[in-house]
Amino acid sequence: MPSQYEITQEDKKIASFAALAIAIHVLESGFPSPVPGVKPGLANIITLLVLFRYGWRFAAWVSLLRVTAGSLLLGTFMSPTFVLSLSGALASLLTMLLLWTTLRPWVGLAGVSVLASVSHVMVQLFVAWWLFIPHPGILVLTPLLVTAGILFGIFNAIIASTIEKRLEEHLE
Amino acid sequence: MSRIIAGSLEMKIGDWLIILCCLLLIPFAWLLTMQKPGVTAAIEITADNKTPVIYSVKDNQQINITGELGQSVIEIRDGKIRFTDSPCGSKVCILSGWHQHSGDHIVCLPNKVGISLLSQNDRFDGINF
Repeated sequence: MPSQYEITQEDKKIASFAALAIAIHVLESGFPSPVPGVKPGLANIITLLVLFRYGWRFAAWVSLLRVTAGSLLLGTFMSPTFVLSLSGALASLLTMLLLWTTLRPWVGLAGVSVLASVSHVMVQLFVAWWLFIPHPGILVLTPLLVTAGILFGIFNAIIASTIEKRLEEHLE
Repeated sequence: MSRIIAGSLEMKIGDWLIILCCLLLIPFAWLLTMQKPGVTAAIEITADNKTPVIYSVKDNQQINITGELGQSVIEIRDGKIRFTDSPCGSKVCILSGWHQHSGDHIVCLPNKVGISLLSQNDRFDGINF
């Protein structure tokens, strides 16, 4: 059956970046975390790279594809884990969109990464409190999660910018 | 290697501002979410895996509960709760003293007696997924 849709070069790029992000996402979920809720979010390195190179629309595709396909692979689709994952991804995408479209000249990868990571954590915590664990005790985690968000945000930005530099050297 | 990695991250003024703001958020969030200990309205005693029984803490009273080993004595006085006697060996439950904050638990493991301190506005008995 011939396809009704034309697959553009952009689609292929999105698919391959999303595949990379999904692989990292699935791999990362196999590592145990010392504190529940704290993890590096290494798949977001791909989102950052894509945002930097191709813009936020591209980044939104990669991020949402990763969340959906990643949850299908891990068997968490439509479970609370998926809802949390999706809300976090949407929050960080919105942050990236706002920063990238309004403050572009003054903000680099580090700022985008840190703010996206912190908003990811905050929205996730709020959704968890609102939908799943309506106990005020869960909000006590905020300082811990924000700290982890900042640290891993910087960490991811360093890796993303290193990869970005290598890519540039390679493509020149 | 570390120089290559750190050197490739370009920090603009906005990046510093964002990181500073997020760092300031930590103590703010910490102050905001600090838990005030709640007042206990009632206690729920579970003994020897039987159905829990709820007692009000309004009245001072002594409750005798039979656990797996024998009789534990629980005292309620002025909204505070403690074990006064227990047939267990270690007496950890008695030595832990008075408890009054809601959300706390006093447990005697050997005798299988558990006390949960409930607040007035517990919205849910339990949440399960």
